[in-house]
Amino acid sequence: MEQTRVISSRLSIEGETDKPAFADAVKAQQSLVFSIAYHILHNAALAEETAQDVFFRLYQDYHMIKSTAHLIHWLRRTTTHRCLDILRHSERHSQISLDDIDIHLLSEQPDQDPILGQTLRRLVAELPAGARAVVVLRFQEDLEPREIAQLLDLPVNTVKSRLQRALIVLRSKLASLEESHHESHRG
Amino acid sequence: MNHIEDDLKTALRRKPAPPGFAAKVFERIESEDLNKKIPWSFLESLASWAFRKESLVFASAVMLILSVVMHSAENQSALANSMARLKVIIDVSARMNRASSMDCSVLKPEAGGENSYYRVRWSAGGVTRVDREAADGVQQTLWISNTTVPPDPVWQPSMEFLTPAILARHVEGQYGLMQAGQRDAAERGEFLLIGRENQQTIEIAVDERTYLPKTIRKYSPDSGTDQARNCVLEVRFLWNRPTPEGLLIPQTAAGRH
Repeated sequence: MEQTRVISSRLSIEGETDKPAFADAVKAQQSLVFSIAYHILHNAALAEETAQDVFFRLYQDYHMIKSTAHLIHWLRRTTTHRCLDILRHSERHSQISLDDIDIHLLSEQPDQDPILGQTLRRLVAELPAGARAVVVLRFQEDLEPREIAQLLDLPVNTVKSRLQRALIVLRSKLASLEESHHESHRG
Repeated sequence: MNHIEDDLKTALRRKPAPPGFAAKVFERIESEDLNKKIPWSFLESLASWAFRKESLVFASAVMLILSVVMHSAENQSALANSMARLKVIIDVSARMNRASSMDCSVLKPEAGGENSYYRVRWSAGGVTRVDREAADGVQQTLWISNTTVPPDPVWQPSMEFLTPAILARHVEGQYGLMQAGQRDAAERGEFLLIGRENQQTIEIAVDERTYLPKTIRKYSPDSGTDQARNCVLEVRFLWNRPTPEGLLIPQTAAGRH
């Protein structure tokens, strides 16, 4: 029988999840978790499944969450590591499928050329998994390299160099795409 | 920040989760919770029902019902065969799990017919409203959630039912089903389960159609024959009565309904 204990000052059970609080956390943070998963995995269905996994794990560990900041840190860390595990154990990182992009996801960028947004997301998805995670955490979550290093258990310099290399690659690929686009118009 | 970094920030902005995502998470958790508990003892799942419903005031009554049902189901003489026993366990548990409200009148004949009345309404969001009308006519409403501290002892649940481990000890130590109910002792459309607690005989009538408990009666230890039995407590239940809209929202539920 599971060992549980009544806490006298508060009707909560050690090891039992505070379900209303957990429900609030899911509703408030679902976008964060889904977006990290989506931008790293570049597959809406897989991202949704991964996000569900993350929240299920959160449910099991929720009694250990101490604050909202702790919750967000936990979610970013767990989601990113989960995505990297998935990429490590599958061939998905070498497959780029534009079919995976949901229409409702594409309609959320009112202030950006939708073609540019799609192109950038596709180019990010072509980056090596580690670099991809760094780029997503840097530009989606607006984290500093020091914070990313903590989340990914990497030295700060490694994060910085991955970021710099990723930006060089992205600039280069974007430039060549633009060039080929202009050439096709000239031709 | 240069151009591509701005573009990346826009391209990689957070997206809304797919429609219905949160509901799917909750469904999966409920499902996994149930699956996780299946190999555990039946007591575990019964106790978890009490936690889910936050039915603090009625935990003892409900657990009493279920523990006796369980004991009766474990007794070969209680029901005709193992399939029937299994059906009782599954049906009673499932019906109570799906209950949205429980009305309960408590009559104590020995205390001059003192009668109190409780109405419990459970919301899907985990908030429970309990209305109580005491024998002296005083009405009170209590909202219960995970962090509720009962305001006075009248609301206090029996603490021995609050954890599966304690409940198991309590049931094993005090609730021994002595005999199955005789069909002719039960009213038409119900089956009767008979147990004992602290030398008192307890009879629980379960509706054969709904598999929900209808009454609990406790008899004093010195009760002898059926004709001369001394009932010290009678609890009558009504389940799943309609709940007026808005009643389960604390801000709008101003009065007693």
